[in-house]
Amino acid sequence: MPMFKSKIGKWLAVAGFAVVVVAVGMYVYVHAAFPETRCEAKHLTDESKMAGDCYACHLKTTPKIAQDWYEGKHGMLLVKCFVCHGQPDGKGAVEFAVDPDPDKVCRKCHDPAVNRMEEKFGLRPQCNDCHPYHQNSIHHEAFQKTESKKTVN
Amino acid sequence: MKRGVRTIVLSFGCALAIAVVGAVAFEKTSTTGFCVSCHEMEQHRTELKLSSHAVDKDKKPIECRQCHMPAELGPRYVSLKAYLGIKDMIVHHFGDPDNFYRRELQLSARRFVPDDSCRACHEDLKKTYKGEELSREGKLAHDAYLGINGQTGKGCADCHHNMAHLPIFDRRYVQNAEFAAKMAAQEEGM
Repeated sequence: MPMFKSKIGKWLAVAGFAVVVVAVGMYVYVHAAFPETRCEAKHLTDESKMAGDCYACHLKTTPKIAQDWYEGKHGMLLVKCFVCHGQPDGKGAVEFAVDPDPDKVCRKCHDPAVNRMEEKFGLRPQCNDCHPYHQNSIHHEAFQKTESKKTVN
Repeated sequence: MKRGVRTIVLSFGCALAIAVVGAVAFEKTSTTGFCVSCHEMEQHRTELKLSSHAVDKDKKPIECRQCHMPAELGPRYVSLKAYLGIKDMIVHHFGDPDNFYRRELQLSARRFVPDDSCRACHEDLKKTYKGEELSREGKLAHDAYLGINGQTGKGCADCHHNMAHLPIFDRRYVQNAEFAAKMAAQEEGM
């Protein structure tokens, strides 16, 4: 390649290479410094660390629900109780509710998927009819398929 | 010998020129004025002006970068600026800037609102912005955030939504009532 033989060509090649290295470096760095999903939850094994919120008491009062959540996808990604159910003092971004309105709560994160489903099949008013919120399992009852995972014949 | 001197002088000159131009461009492109010079950002500025984050406690207007960029200059700042800047340019020229899908934008905006920008102003997490004590639940939530009592794995913007922007579908929430009313009044006046 004659371009790399001339002095300017060599400098250009070095400069181009440097730009590419810096660009790739920055891209990788941004993805490391601003992760798309935060993964602390996967490594959460110490239950005492959950003592500060609903979970610690609800593990005793509503053990099935608490355990389902803990083992489900929402639990693993630390989508905690208050994210959907709000807080008892009524502050925070979501109203306090035992049975939250799916249109307000689910859509906050799952809007693209809800829209896709709506286009294809239409919607039932309660997402919960097919997708049990607390049992979207990764490990929990892993061999027992929920209603939503059953294939339709 | 002469050639060697010339090369050194030339390379220093180039480096200096790049540094000066870079620094000036960096400053100029960091202003709110530059952000809203693209028409698709007008809506976001209108919302910001009516929000609780329009001005800081000294009544100085809050700039885009104070929330959307890290608080301190550093490799984190520079990399994020480059990343978001290039993304914005691609969307502006090749995307569909008139029809933002704001649900999706919210998720990515939350990812790129660093906690240190929030906490540059909101220093004491045990008090409200007015200096009053937080509610018991509020304190528990912030303790969990700090890892003192429980842990959340979440950032400020993962819980505190609609602080400075309010898309139409988020106006129905009770806690956004005041903001929504202001937005509605503004649109009526238009």
